[in-house]
Amino acid sequence: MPNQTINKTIYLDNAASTPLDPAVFAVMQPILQENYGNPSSLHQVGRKAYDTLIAARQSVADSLAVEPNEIIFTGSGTESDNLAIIGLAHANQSHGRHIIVSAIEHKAVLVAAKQLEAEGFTVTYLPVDEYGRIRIEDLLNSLTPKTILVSIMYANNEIGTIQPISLIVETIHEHYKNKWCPIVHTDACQAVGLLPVAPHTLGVDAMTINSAKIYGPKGVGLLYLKAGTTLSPLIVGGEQEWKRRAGTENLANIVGFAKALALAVVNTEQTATQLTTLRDEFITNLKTNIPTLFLNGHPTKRLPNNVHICIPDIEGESILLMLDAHGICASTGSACSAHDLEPSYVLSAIGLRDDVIHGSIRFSLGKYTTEEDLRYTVDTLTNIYHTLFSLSSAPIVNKSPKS
Amino acid sequence: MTKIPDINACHDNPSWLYSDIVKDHFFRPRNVLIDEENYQSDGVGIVGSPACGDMMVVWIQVNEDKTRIKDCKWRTFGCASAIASTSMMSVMATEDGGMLLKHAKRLSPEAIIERLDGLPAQKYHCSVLGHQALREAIEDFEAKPAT
Amino acid sequence: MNTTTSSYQWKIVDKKVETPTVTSLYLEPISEKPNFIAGQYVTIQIPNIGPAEGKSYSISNAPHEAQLRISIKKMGNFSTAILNHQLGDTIFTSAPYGFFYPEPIDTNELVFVVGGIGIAPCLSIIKHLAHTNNPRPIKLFYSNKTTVEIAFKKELDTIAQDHPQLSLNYYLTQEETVNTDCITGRVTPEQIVSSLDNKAEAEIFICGAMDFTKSLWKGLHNAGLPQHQLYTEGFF
Repeated sequence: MPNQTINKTIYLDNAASTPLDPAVFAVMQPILQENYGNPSSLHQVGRKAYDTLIAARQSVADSLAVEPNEIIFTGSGTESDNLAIIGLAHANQSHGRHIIVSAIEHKAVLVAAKQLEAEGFTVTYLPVDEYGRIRIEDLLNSLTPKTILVSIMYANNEIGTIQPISLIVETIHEHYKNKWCPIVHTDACQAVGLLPVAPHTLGVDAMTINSAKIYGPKGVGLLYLKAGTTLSPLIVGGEQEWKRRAGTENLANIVGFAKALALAVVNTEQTATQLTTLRDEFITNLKTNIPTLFLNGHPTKRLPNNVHICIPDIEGESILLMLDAHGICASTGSACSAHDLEPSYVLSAIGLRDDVIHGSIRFSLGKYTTEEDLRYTVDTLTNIYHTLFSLSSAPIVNKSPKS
Repeated sequence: MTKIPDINACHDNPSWLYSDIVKDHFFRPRNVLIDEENYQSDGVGIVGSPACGDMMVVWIQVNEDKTRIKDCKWRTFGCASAIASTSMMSVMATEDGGMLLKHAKRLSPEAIIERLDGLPAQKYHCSVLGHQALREAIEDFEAKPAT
Repeated sequence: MNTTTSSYQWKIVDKKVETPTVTSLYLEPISEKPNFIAGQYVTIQIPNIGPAEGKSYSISNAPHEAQLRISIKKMGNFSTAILNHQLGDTIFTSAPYGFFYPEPIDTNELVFVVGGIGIAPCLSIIKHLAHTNNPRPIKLFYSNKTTVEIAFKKELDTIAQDHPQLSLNYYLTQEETVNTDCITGRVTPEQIVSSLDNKAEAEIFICGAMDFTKSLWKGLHNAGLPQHQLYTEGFF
């Protein structure tokens, strides 16, 4: 087993969480230390906070090319997803009680949809192809006069596949023409900073974004909601966010989020190009060194930073722990590493067998990832593969006629 | 065996899962069979499946009078708990001159876990498999006609 | 090799509520009846519910009996789905498997320490030993929360009446006992050890939920019983 030769941490789990950009920390610090007022208070300390809040919201609105009152700040991407699914369903149920989501949405959408099912709503879970893309025919076939909400994530957090959001929106609008049209929501948490996310470009009515994935602070997210869309709030008891999400605003987080979002949007093209190059070279090198591995998700319509692979004959948790011992941070869809011992439902949805799901690893690059990081990772993973393969019973049992 | 994590020590390669002994048997596993083609085993046991996420093959050699385990080798597909469980099981089966077959049949998951200084609750089945793999190997040996 | 493929087909011919939480299913083989050793279990797979490889349930009656009995404690979606089957339904199981059984030639004292539904494989072994008139002394320490939850008490009491080599100790952890044949409190390693005829020879089989088997294994080990005199079947 090779000794650790690099002392730094090689963080390749940016899809789970990102480091805080120093520029974001710089704008947050004075807020934490000095700008402590409640934006709802009448006095000068409160008004200072209020002004800061307004400026941050305007910044976010500018980044997304929308109006300030179309932004609802929440406590997380999960909360935004919950608010979108449950809040929009409840508020619009006079038009019907049918909802459509994809089978590979984030749990924050799927579990919210399940909750609505328990309340009597019907939910269609659109299947995906072997790359994780929904089929437009399936979407068309599931639209009904009672459909009120369609939620399809922009890019999948696990396998990186990008959905054709504009086409989905177009299809839905075309189908309903002059009638009441279902609300279209997308979870864009993984796409921000890597793909264009301006809601008007995509055509969506609602969008979830969270700060933790874009080098901003954790504990803050947003739901973009097109003006005029009715929503039932989940968190009540205050006037904040135009009564759509109560609670004293976390100003430092919101300011940090606004800064992170501005940086992400401005640098999208450059980051995407840079990461796509690194990603593709990484994939090529991995395949050269470990010929049995294969990539999951769409080969081209995938996030610039996502490298999701399966390595036959060895298991994900053990791969991760060995990577970790060498300073490399990644994640796995293997059941063995999950607290509930369930294998990844996303990998099941794209048709992978249980045994290969156990050998899955996700690397998600970030803006701080270097070529050297990835070269070291290829070398380390190759060594790990040989070590675990030599321990593994899989090659033996696969060879033997009885198993 | 669960340790309450010290939040101030988190920077120091925090292992939220495993004891030092488990880590030792995972990074430096004992008794792995490298060359299965040329190993003369007296009994082989196979348990689990890749679909389940754990699969172990265990080979044993017994001593002259067929009362003790002389050698125990293995290969495991699975997580760190599975690898450490098979490794520790093989050590327990062969230490001190080798376990009596009668005793080896009673090498429970709890005994393996105790020597590992604990496993997370959701990994209990890994040590169950380790035990069953050894039982299968012994059963394979005992099923063979006496020569 | 352990196989979890559902190779055996059964018809549910009887359903019996044993306690408020435990129900037994009596199964008649549609294909051939597999042989099994008392103490083994079968694995049941239900499409779309629970783990793909299925869950295991100990056979709670003995090999000589015509029907196979599995006794299910209602705990979650999977057990509920099994118990939703009706009389006449078909159910698929794997071949019987497992190693939780005593050696046929042994004659030393056999002690069962059981928590709740852990009684299932132990009852199978006890019924088999009774049926074959095995003189081996058996002690059962059987722990439940309350009287109504003692599954198979009548069955055990009946066997004990006809077989003096079986002695029964019922423990209740959450009820003040009204029966003189139950003991209030948790069964302790010390109580078990002090009951042994010969500490150096006794064999102790512990069966129940994982935490129960772990804590009793440790306790008995610390009380001086070597590892080879202890055996477990922890339910997980």
